Amino acid sequence: MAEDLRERILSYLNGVSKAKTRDIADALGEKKKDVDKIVRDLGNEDIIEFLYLGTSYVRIKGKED
Amino acid sequence: MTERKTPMLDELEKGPWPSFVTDLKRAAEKNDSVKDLIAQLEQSYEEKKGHWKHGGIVGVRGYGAGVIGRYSDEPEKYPNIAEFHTLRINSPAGWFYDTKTLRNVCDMWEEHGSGLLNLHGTTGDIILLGTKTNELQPTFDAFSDAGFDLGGSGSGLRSPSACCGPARCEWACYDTLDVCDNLTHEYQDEMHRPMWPYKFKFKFSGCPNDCVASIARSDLSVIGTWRDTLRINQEEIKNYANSGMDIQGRVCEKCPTKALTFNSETKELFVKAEDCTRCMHCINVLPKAVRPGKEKGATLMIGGKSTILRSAFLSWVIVPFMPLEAPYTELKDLIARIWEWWDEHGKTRERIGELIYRLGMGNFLRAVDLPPVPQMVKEPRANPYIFWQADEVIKADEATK
Ligand code: HEM
Ligand code: HEM
Ligand code: SF4
Ligand code: SF4
Repeated sequence: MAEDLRERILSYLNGVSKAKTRDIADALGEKKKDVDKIVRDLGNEDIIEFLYLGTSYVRIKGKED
Repeated sequence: MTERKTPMLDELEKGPWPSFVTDLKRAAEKNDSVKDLIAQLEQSYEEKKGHWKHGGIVGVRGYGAGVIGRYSDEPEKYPNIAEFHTLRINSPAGWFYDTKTLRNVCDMWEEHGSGLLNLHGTTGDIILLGTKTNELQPTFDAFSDAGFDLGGSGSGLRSPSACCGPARCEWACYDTLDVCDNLTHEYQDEMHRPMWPYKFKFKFSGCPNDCVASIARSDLSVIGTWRDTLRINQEEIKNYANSGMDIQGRVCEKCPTKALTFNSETKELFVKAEDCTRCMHCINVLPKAVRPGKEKGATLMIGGKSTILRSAFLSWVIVPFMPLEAPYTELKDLIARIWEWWDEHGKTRERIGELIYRLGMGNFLRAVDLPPVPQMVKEPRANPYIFWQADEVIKADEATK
């Protein structure tokens, strides 16, 4: 289940330039808490990165618009 | 590097007070980025226009917060500040250091950055001003090895901060340092990986003197108080009176709720406990004679913030009294419910106080399961935040049929 959600989060992030975890959770119809947890792991694994543009977003590391 | 003229900045050194310009010039002797910083600042003063670009992605591995990216918008003219990022270092609770640690902080920062720093301002953090992108990770590693961690930034929890509390102050009604330290460790993820609508701050003051100004500067203000009545030592009251203190004028008449009476014959002071709002005034004026009660804890208040979506707010009471003993389970349970509601309903860049303002205190209280209490009334004889619910009104309607 978590494996599956992780893949879906990654594929969502691959399709957008950046997102708040709230947007990811809403788009995938998942609980924000579960998304946050996986996004945190992805951050620690250096797969995603955080950017701050008035509020914090995440995106796939190095992905340009 | 050619020396540039800075007549406007020089002007700021002329007053009798210490000037940051003097400090910058001294730092510039050792560091070229400070030279460019001074030159760019002079240009900003001439043009009345800032020359810093924000944003982008800067950080250290695994962290989403703690580094604030800044670039000069004229990098050709000021190459040494083309990148000039700020790091926030989480400070110890109550801001205690030994001199060795402080020297080490300075040495590490001179090695990796501009050498300019700012201690414990609005954020509470140690603010390291200005380094290059490729120095971020080495700076972090050096501070990390010395036992420091990054503080919060972005849309996450900011580094909690506390007054010196019981370490140095006899008025502390709970252990501000321990709560601050405990919650900082508990909420590492919330601080380092910002995932919320916007920022959230805790500040812990040991008593209503509120030395960290938590009522104005934090979303959740935790302010020490006592539930019983303040304690008065009549011998010391006599000593104050005999030494010429105007107790009637300076203490009783300044008590906001007129809870105090002074008998000038017997030189005794009395308090009407149910009228005292625990403001600390009498204690501050007569510290030897008056002190807080014995049953101590804290008042929790919510929603303090500066202007963004709405005007500045002071926080307002949600729990008049909570005993605060480690491991602070009751406090943490409430925090969890507050964050869940805010994270669920908050719009981007909306602080909890603004969300409560938009959806109503009644909705907030029901969501986080807190009872409405008289202490939440906005001001005496004014509209309280608590209204009848629709279902309650219908019941009343039916009762009259
Ligand atoms: C590239 C240059 C700079 C950047 C990007 C920068 C950025 C920031 C940011 C993001 C904050 C935090 C505001 C907040 O807590 O909401 C801050 C605070 C502050 N900055 Fe700057 N700043 C820069 C240069 C300077 C300089 C040159 C000075 C003084 C000579 C300065 C003095 C301060 C002070 C005193 C604070 C308050 C710190 C605190 O309250 O914690 N900054 N700055
Ligand atoms: C007569 C003029 C001024 C007065 C009476 C004044 C007073 C104050 C006071 C009382 C504080 C709070 C200190 C504290 O809580 O520890 C403060 C903070 C501050 N002031 Fe001023 N100030 C004056 C002028 C200025 C000027 C001209 C500047 C900037 C050029 C300035 C920059 C700041 C900053 C950056 C802080 C925050 C420091 C920090 O949070 O670390 N002030 N000021
Ligand atoms: S807030 Fe109260 S307890 Fe804390 S340092 Fe100030 S006077 Fe002391
Ligand atoms: S603490 Fe404040 S409200 Fe209470 S008696 Fe003293 S001055 Fe009055």
